[in-house]
Amino acid sequence: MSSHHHSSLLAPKKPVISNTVRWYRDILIVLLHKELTVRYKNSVLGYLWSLMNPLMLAAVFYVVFSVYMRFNIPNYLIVLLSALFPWQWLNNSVGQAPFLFLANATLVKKVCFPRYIIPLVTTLHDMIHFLLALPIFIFFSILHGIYPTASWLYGLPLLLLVSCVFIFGLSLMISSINLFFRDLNNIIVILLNIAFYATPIIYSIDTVPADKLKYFVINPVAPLFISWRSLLHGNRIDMQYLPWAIGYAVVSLIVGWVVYSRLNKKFAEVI
Amino acid sequence: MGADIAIRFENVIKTYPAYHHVTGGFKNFLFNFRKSIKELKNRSLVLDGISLDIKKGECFGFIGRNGAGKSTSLGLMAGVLTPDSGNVTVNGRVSPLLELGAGFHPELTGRENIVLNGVLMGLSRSQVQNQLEEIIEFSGLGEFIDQPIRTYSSGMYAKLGFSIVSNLSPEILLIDEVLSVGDHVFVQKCMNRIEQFRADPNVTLVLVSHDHVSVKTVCDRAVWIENHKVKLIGSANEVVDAYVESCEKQA
Repeated sequence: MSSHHHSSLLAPKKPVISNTVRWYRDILIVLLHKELTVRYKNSVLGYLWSLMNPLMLAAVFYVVFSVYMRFNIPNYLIVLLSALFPWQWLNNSVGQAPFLFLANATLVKKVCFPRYIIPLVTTLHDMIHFLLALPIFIFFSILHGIYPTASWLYGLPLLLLVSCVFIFGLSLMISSINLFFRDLNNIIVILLNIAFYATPIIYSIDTVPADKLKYFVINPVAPLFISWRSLLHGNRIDMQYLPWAIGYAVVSLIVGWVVYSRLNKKFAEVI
Repeated sequence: MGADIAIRFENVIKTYPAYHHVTGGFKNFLFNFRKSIKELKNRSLVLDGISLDIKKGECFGFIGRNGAGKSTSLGLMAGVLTPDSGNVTVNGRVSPLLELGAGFHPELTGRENIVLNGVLMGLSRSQVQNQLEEIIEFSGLGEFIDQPIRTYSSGMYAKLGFSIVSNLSPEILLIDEVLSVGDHVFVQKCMNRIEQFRADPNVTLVLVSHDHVSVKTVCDRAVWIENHKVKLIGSANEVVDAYVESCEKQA
């Protein structure tokens, strides 16, 4: 039998536990604060810089597909951005995931705390970044005469939660495995690229042949972004794809959690 | 376990994997599949049946050659490693002393880094906030405290690091060899502060070092680990002398 106890015999049990939990929360807060401060250090300029990448990408796609290839999708820019902005969140978090524990080697090797906080911080950080980019989306939307409706009031928190769970699960799994197989990021880059084109982001499911629609249910990433587009562009909850998105999010969290719990005890041995 | 014991090792066995093929990546793993599988099962022994008690309030040292298992012991006490068998029981809150700058971010200001580092070393945010002005005063950094620390000189860096250590109120403080590699001023001030912790009956200090001089001067008791086992345990003077003698014999 092997075990490791952290107990306090002198102090009553309960306050000790809640102090520990409070300390975990404090770690989450200071790490998140660090990421946000570093990113938005020079306030306005930092914010604009962080928007450059998605906006330039959107401009390129817009010119290529709407101007050159003459895609016949009304309000193409809004259709594009409504899935591209949420995609950036997943792309940033999952793309960074392989390096997360390696980048925090000191914490992993010296400080005893729930290490899942590290991928959680990245997920939340990129969520906040997505929320800060949302006004830009609304601005373009209004320019096209599309106004957000009351459906956002419940749709937005719901999709934020589903995305958080989905992305956190993936990050947890990838960051854990990468400590043991250090070339995982090469595979992740390729998978993210495939997922980007296999998901309706630069195109819309409306133009996909009906007999091919089943593939968007098999693709674990697609239902989430179809649901985001339905909300941000269509102002509606997607009753067809949202249940799938929720299902995949739960699966992602469970798989991520199982992988993490099995490997977690060995992190400090291999880092 | 009695209330006077801070840390107890009971017949602790710890092995490490020979993971280097696996950490070489999927490609390596697949191309050297047989070898990799063999290596996965082949773990090397680091600690072989260690039993010892560290009393509350004492200063306890670990000495031994490189690779003897000192840092592994520290990892077990910190709770970042798990023993293969046996028990490591810790009675109290463990604070790891992070090496100078390990929990710093260059883009953050001195003030922000104090909060970040303090929390990572086991303080709560409110504890740091309550003592923030005191810590800043102690650091003597004046108006530089609101500058990003990438603009700091190494001396200022050390001052900042130490001002946090000086305000730690640990129950069990784990100190790695880090103290020998930091800035000289930092090391000196830390040693003074460690003297104060030593005098405090509520603070248990655990020092891991192959620098036997510091173990002798700081610690009350020590353990000498050789070939993954406890070779000798007793007063720091006695253990260090025996260790030095054995090293000289071999040299």
